[in-house]
Amino acid sequence: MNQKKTLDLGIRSFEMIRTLLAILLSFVAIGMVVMLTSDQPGEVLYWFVIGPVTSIRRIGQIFQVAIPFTICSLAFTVMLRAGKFNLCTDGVFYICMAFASMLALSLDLPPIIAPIVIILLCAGIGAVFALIPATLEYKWNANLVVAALMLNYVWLHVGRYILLYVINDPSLTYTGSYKFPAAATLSTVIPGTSVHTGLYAVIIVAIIVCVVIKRTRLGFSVTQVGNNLDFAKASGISVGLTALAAQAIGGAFIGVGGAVEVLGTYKQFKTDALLSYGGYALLITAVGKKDPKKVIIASILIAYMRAGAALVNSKTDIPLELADVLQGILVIFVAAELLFANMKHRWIVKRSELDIY
Amino acid sequence: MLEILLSPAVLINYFYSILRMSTPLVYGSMGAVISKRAGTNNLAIEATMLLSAMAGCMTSIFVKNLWFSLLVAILTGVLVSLFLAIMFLKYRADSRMVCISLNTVATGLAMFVPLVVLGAKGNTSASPSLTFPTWSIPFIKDIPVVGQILSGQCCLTYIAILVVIAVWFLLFKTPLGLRIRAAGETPEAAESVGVNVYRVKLLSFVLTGVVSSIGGCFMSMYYLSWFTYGMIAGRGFICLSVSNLTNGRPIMAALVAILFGAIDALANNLQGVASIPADLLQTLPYLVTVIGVTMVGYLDVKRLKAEK
Repeated sequence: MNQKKTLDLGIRSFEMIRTLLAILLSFVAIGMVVMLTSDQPGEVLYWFVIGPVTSIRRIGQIFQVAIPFTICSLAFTVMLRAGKFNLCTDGVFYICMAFASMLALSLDLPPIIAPIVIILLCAGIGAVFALIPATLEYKWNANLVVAALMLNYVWLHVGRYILLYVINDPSLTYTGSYKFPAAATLSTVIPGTSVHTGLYAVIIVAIIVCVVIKRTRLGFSVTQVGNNLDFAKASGISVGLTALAAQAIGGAFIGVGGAVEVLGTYKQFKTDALLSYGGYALLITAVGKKDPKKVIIASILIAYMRAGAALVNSKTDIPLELADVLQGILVIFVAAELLFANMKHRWIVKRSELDIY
Repeated sequence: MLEILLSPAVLINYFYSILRMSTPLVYGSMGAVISKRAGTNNLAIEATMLLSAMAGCMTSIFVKNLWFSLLVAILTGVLVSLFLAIMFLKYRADSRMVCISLNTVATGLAMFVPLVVLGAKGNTSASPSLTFPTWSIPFIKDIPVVGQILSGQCCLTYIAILVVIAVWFLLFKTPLGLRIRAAGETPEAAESVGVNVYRVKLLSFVLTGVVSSIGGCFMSMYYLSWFTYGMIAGRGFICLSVSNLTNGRPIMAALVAILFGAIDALANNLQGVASIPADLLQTLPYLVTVIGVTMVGYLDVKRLKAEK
């Protein structure tokens, strides 16, 4: 009887176990690479696993990374729930960082008001930019994935143009904009760490996403459109507009993320390449199975991983880029639905055998 | 400014660079065409090209043999393609997820492997590697203007012509090509007449890997004489939209790839002459791709409506 219960639990929680196994598999794969290439594998393991919690400052770093991760992943979740694989995150995030910088340098507003105004404006800008590929698909049936990815490169170059020609501070020895006025930047929440007030923005976004998706008509329609298009059409949901609304909401969140990141973390615009938050959003959404609450937890876990990778990068001979490889492999294994499917099958067979005897 | 742009020397140089810039696009597009015919929008051409560019260039650093390096690059491309194919044919992973992540993995490896092997992150320019030779074509090279444009290109540019013809022949004149197209269009029907769809699709991915990896090699072993991690720069996606734009017709795809190459070359050549900032010019190929995929979608809808 006891065995029966365990098996039932196994079959039911199979999805979770499968995800965990996929994660384990990718860690083993990367672990093997580390063993082969590093002279100090023990150190690597220590900094990756324990490193992020060895000091208050480092714990702060986890949450600082988790801020853009959570925002971008929730944004991607909303867009993906409407069935749209809109990979605009990287580009929109970058262009919103550029616009937020321009606004921060040109608007002359009192503290607290200034960042709020900039973040809200960037939300609008982000919504517009995320809508561009979505509208191309809606109106003219363009391939959304390709359109969004290509537009990312366009926004990258436009953002770089802003950086190099519009707000560039020629007196710097590196490429960067003028430093933002103190009134426009986000202050630190916890002294001694780099966690900034962008944390409040994350909390607001998280609440909005959870409430909108689970409790409102719009959220229900979005999920319906993503899950079963024909059923959504039959039940009278205006499918195209609902999907577009989801893209606009997602884009607005990405805009918030970009503004918060540049105002809170950098306090000056100096990024001249796309930050790979889109890739992380994809990973986190895949691990969190598009469920807002799980996505938030996954964001923090992946941020922990990322913080560990950053420590490994600075303390050992393994570079940060291996984290990108790990991230990609993770998504592939998590997405491979039939990986370990045999296991579930065996469980089901065993369960039915137990019923017979 | 216009006078400089239209001077014969600049124009000849421009037309010469069109063929140069479009060669990797032609190879990648052929890869995308084969995948498309087998029923997949291959978003991982980018990763295939990047990793084979790295493999080819780095092999030539250690083994001073050009064609062996090309072979290693092709094998790498095939491995990447096979991994993708197995993940989504056998384990039913969402092909977009796998492809996009594969691109991330590729970028990570492109930074990591040169660092571990050569000590330079994402870059092999410090170590001398081999490049493909240019061929001058007898008779043609003696014609003024035309000779300057058509002759003296990289050998891979001329081989590309053969590859395009080979892909066309394979897809439309051989039993295997028929099976690939059947497996792509209606897998159930193909299955019912005894085609092993899984195997045919797997094989089509291998072919995609072979063809697009040559394009990757061109980038790191002729276009530049070293490898950098960002050198493919979205070319894989341009190739994908080329194949979509032409509905998987190889000869047309090659021509459209040359058109995209011309835009690429224009953006490159204008940088020295025009006073437009380089960053804004560099958006040009991507903007054209966006317009391209939009046109494809529009034409598809129109065709479907006409068929009804």
